[in-house]
Amino acid sequence: MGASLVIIAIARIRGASPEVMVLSGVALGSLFSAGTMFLQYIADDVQLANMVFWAFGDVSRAGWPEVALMFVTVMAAMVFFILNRWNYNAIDAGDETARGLGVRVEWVRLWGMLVASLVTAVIVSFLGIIGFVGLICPHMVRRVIGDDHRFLLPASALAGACLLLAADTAARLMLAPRVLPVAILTAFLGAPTFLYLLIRRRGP
Amino acid sequence: MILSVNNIHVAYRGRPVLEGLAMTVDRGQVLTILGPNGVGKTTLLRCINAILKPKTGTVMVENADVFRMSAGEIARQLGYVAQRNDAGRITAFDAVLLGRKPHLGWRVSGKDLRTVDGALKHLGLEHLAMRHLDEMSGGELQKVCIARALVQEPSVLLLDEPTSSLDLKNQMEILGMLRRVVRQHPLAAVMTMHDLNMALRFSDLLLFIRDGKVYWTGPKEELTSQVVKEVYGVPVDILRHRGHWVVVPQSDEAPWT
Repeated sequence: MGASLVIIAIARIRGASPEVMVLSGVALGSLFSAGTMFLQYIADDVQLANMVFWAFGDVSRAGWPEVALMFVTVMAAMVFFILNRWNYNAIDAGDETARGLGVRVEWVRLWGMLVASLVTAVIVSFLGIIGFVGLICPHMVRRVIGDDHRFLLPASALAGACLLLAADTAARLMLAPRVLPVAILTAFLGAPTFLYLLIRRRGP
Repeated sequence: MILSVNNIHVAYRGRPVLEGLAMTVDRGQVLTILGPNGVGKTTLLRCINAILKPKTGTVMVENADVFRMSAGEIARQLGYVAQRNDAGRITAFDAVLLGRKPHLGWRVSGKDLRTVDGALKHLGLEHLAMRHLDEMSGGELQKVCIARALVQEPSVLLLDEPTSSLDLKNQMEILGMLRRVVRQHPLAAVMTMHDLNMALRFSDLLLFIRDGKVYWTGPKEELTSQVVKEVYGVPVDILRHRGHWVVVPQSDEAPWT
């Protein structure tokens, strides 16, 4: 969440272009990797093993209390995003148009990023890093049902849940009785899909 | 007067852009703001819409101060068609429905759907209703954007260079459509433009900005070639041709004297 605030601050100074956001993200990513490496360096063997396992995101790590907390957070965030569905549609039409429709564009962006970061922070804390689900699903769904956030938001949430469930089931069956951390599978599936989406992306 | 703008001062990084600018428009009138690039035409539109808050000045719509209104109230009074509109994968019907946002509750009501339907029919866009914006031509997209501003049911329409990247046919269609809508509703329209001939043909009032101030404003019939020369630095003749005023530059090459 701190990283999101830094990115928002940089975006306010330099303008919120995708390039600025991505490059700030890359810079902060390196900073936090350095922090992780430092922690790994000073950790003892047990701590180091825990850290490495945390980095392999896995859904089996959570018990019911964690699931309950994640459920509440995700549901609250979902309500927030659904309430803002028209605002996101307006911003899609262009910032000036959105402002003309009475949308406080900066406010909507800021809170959207903060709520998304909060959900990510809560889930990553409990399950570790499970990459690409959030990156791939909305784009895949967008290709099928279009850019209307009234449908895109719930459909993306549903598609993300289905993908994670399918990947986790596959991860449990592939090398049974050994359970593969689901993050390995999502990364194997996600990275090529992401590249495919980049190549197939519609022109401006 | 439905729209009255008074004493607008805007400065950008300490440099004055608009200084004491004032204008009025009534229902059924189209006013076009003209002037060289960077003179503050778009800035003025953004001030009227309260997207930009000027240092001083007031904007009154139907005797209510725009700067004291909430963002939603402003959107119900002023429809804004921006210069740049992004075309996503969304149907024209849904894009126009977005214009109902300032009126929407939790659900889209039957009235909202009927208003969108009515606007599409009124502007002759029914055949585009189910087409996605990213499959449309520039002219079609601009018509959809005007329809979106209309379903806001505003008293005043603001348009920032509505025909800047369109061919002649689309320019004529869009400006003709705009004039028809303004007269029929009736509402007021304020637009910025560079094409003097289109402005003369489709506006009722013209307003020329120079050095941050209103250099000249009045009915288009009263425009003189001296005004155009003073504002743009290009000597022109203003001729009458088939019932329309046209601006013709006197010489092809600079420097003009």
